[in-house]
Amino acid sequence: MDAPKQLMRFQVNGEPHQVAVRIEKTLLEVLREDLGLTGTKHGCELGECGACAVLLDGRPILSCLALAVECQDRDITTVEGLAQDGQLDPLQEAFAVTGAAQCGYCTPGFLVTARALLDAKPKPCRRDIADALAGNLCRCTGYLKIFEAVEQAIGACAVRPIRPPAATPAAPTGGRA
Amino acid sequence: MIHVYRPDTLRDLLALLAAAEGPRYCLAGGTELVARQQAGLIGDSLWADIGAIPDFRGIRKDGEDLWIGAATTHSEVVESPLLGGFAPALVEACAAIGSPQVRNQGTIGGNVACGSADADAVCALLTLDAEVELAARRERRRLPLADFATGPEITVRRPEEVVLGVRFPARKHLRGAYRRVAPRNGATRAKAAVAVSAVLREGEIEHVRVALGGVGPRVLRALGTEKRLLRDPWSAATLARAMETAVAEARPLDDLRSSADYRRRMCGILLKRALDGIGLPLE
Amino acid sequence: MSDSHHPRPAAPLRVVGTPRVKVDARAKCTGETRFADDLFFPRMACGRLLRSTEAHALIRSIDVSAAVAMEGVYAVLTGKDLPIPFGILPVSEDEHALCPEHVRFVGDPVAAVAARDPWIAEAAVNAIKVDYEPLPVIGSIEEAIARPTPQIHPYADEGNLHRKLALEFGDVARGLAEADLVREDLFFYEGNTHLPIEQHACVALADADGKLTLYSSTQTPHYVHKALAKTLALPPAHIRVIALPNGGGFGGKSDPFNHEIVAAKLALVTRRPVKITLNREEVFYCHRGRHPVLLSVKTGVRRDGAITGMHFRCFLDGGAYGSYGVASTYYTGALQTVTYKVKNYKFDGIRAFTNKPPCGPKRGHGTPQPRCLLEVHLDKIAGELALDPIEMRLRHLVEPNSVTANYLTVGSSGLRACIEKVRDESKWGERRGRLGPGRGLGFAAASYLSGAGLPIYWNNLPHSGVQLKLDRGGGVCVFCGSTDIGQGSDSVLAYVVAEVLGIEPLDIRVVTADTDLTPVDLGSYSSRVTLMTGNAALQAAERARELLTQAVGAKLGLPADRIGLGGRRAFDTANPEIGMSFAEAVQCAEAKFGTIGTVGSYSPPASKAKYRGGGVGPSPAYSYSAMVAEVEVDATTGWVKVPRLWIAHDCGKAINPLLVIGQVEGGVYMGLGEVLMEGSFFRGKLGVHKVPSLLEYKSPTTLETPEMFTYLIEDPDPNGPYGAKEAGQGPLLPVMPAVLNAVYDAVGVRIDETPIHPHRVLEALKRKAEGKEARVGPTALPKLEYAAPVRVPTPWEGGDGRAVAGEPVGHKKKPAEAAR
Repeated sequence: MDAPKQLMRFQVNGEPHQVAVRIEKTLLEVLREDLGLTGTKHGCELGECGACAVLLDGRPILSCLALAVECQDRDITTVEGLAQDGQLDPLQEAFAVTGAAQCGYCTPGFLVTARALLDAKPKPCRRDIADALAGNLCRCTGYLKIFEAVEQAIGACAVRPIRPPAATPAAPTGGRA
Repeated sequence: MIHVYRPDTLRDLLALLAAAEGPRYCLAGGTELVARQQAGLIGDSLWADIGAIPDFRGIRKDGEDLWIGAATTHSEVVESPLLGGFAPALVEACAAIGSPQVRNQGTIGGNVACGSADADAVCALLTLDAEVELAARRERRRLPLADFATGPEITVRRPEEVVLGVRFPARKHLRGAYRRVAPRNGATRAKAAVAVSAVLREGEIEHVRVALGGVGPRVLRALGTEKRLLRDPWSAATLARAMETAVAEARPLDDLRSSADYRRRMCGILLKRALDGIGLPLE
Repeated sequence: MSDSHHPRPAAPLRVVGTPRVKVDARAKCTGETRFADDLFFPRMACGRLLRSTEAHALIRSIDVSAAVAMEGVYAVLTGKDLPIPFGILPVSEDEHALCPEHVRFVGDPVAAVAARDPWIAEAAVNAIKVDYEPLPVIGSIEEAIARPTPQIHPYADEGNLHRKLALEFGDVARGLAEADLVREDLFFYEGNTHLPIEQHACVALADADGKLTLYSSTQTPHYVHKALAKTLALPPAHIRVIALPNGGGFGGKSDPFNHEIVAAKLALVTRRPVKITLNREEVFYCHRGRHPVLLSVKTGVRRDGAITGMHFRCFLDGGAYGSYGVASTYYTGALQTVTYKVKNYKFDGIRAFTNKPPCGPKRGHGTPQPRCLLEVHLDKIAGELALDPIEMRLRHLVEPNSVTANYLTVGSSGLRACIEKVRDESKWGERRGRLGPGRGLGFAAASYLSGAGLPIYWNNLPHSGVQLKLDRGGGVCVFCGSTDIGQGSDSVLAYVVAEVLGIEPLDIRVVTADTDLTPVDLGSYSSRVTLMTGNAALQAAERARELLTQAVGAKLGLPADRIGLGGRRAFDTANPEIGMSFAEAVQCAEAKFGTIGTVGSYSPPASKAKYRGGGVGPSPAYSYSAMVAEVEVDATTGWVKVPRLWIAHDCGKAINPLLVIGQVEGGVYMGLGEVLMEGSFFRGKLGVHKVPSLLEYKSPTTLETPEMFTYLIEDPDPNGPYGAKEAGQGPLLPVMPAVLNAVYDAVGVRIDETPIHPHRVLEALKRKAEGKEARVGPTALPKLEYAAPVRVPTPWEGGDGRAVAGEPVGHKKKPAEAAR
């Protein structure tokens, strides 16, 4: 009773990937199960916790609510793609040293979402940070250390967008099942 | 079993929807559809991903109207200067939806098509006299958004139809506001909401539309409240009567998010706050 | 405890006491940390549970034939495959991995499958047909009292009352008679849940010899190990349990769970790795969250607020199983006495069985509910006596180094310093009552354990063990059974060992939570880990230090006590330039003594509480917290906003202040969620969870985050490593009452129930406007006959911690005996 699979193509963390998966799989499932990128977490299956956040063409989305097929030929960044040239992203270092990652399970979702914030707005105030991270739940920290981490990273990474956020998504060219 | 298709053209999509049998859903952002499926609320069905089809995209002036494609995300609405000018209530409503991630994914078409009683964008769109554009293989039709949803998650959309977009008259000098109460500030659905769009002249209301979200089987136009606001000169007494009318027009239910009584009461308070938001303060 | 637990005097601390990065923090920021669901093995099958759709029913029959016949289904299990019961407490081993004949709540597992992929697994469980014979549903404490039959469990003390207990210390009637004012208050504390962002997951593997390995997101691998050995009837030596880093626990991963046992059994049956990951709905069914508790307190006070007698009654809604519930019940009565002097004290505790997911330990375990009422009650009493609520409390604090009415031994206490700190920093005296309409300040204080004095099952073994391995390359490996649930317990081990051995925490590898590799630690619960593993690590490290200094001393021709360790060197303290590298020091020791490894262990001091029930409450050390909360109440919407908070916490000694502050802030956040919005709500008589998803179970987001001023008070406790006490649970406790008291200060109404939903505020304001009692909350207790109390004379009556009356002869019924 194996369902037919479809070939998906996308850039993940700057690398091209092709993978044949069942077409109803979510992006989250494909990242974790088919690409081995387990840094992106699941926490609720309903788009309510933010643990599964990834960047799609530079903007944070919930990978548990996106079918992989919707992301054909698009550019995806996960937590594994934040460090570059062997260097942690300043946000990663700041989250580590300020204690913003306690259990660490929500951390990847916070990191990519904060990364998109700083790419769009290099000097956010605390209210901007709170607004941008309002869809990411953390049960450990009470959020204060997370705010501090983003603020600490601001100076260090103001001019370092990882990939230019695309204004409009590239026209998808996916096939049909 | 879910069967997902990703047609490249509107024509292919409409043919697919027409040929299928049983439940059919169009997939745009997925924030409702995928979540409902994950929650086990959707059975065997056909899903058509509209993401590859350009006809659903865009925010543009179309004659005297503004047109918003069904696949337009809430973030795109919030960031649109055009809508900031002509649909301020809609911009506020879309900014209140879900979380930042959900706003990057969820679409106007989805908010409309689901027919939820607390749909934030629909609440604002009702104050803009919006119409829904539906397309099917054999027919295109337009109908008032107010007639689209008939009950909680019940709409007049036929299985072979897709929501193509919404349109509304581009009214000059329109002010608008959207206010809601919710279980918390971040990332949540409303308990009750009020949208107001109005044109003011010399401190008086020349044109006004009021809609109530989350307080009935569907989003409601508050026609009585509008009449109240237009009948008398603007004053504390006018406001008080309008608030009473809004409370009376609400038809809320008790559910786990709120009591009916609380929701009803909030309609008046939120109306006051929305009117304050469009520049009709008292004192 | 032996003296070797204490660090040598005089050596300035290099590692302990300074903020530093956790040893696992960077891995958690790159996605490298592997949680249980991140494990994938070749041939791995997907396991899934079928859960009861009935709240209370007998199983007439289960037909699994359609599931068994499905292509891609490897195994199907039902209750008869796992007949041996289990449960975290030996007195309530009332759970089965799969219900054999009786389901007790919606979500109780009845069957399980292992299949090739999740779609097949899902289809297979859906193909299993269960024929239920419904039984009447017990949905609340009141119904459990009113309806003794059918019994949810036959071993209950009485009908559907799991436990009925009573303790009296001194003579409360006499105490109340001596009072100038007697006041009684009622409160209802709603249940709520941990909501760890990580959903429980486990992977089980059986090797060719039939030995089992289970990887799981558990806070208590040792107890899971015991439960697996029991239910699978395997020798413990053939079972290995590895707890992976927990993606949040908060008490919710402290029980051995059905899915862990089922995955293990499926692995043994299929000889494949089997993974079971719960979805969020199932996590709500696993629960073990905060008990809903209906409470009353009657207190007699002198004019100055001195407490002459106090009588607490707690009715706990336990849900369908025992879990930690017997302990939870005792905890609702245990810690009222450790903050303010209570001369005579009585406690009635009743835990009901209901057809809802089982309650258990959530952060603060059994103590937030009574603490909430106590602090609100004292606020009301201060109002009646026209005393400042803070000054009234300050007059009657429990003294350090004293014994309470119920024989809890208080060592260090920074409570006074905590209270004064938040009073002064919040400008309580100047600002209270002067903030303007709708704004107010509230105060509360609290205390919590630094680890339970007794283990969960009776034994006389250490509570925590540490082994150290020193390698001739200079590497040090710490082995300990403790589980890092985000609180930083792995880091604490590294800090303590690095401090003693003069190396850097990052030089140390920490191996934890693996029953094959690491000595037993009882688990990450009851705020025990820093104190207990810290002491064990200290002992092991001191012993290693001894070997190193002896060997280096011999090599350098100096007495061992002249040798210092620091800066990754061993050196002559009189001539620090003379010495050698740490690696060379290890080589010296290895040459002299052979392979270098040491051990350390920790057992808590004996308790003075010798009465039945005295096992709950004693702790090596008590932490103290005090809070001032500021609120803004919108009288039109009933919305309560908490713009800022001041919290002071006495943690004894902050081994890493960064992590302690993180625990304090996290606890406060969780308390805010409980008081403002969170609740586990059920559909009345159906026992159906209203909110088994994050769609409706709302917890605070970044946008509810107040400004928080956190102060660490360090009053070192002789029982703690370097004086350290707990920080993980205590700071949650004052939050709820401080906010409730602030709401009263702001708008003059009492919300005597949690959470403070806006409609309750509006209702109370309406009552106030109508001239009625300006409060919402319970107005009466259910009628029932209370247990005869176990009577214990207080220390000041000459008591010795033993009961003089009321102790039943023999022992309590256990589930297995009741079933016979």
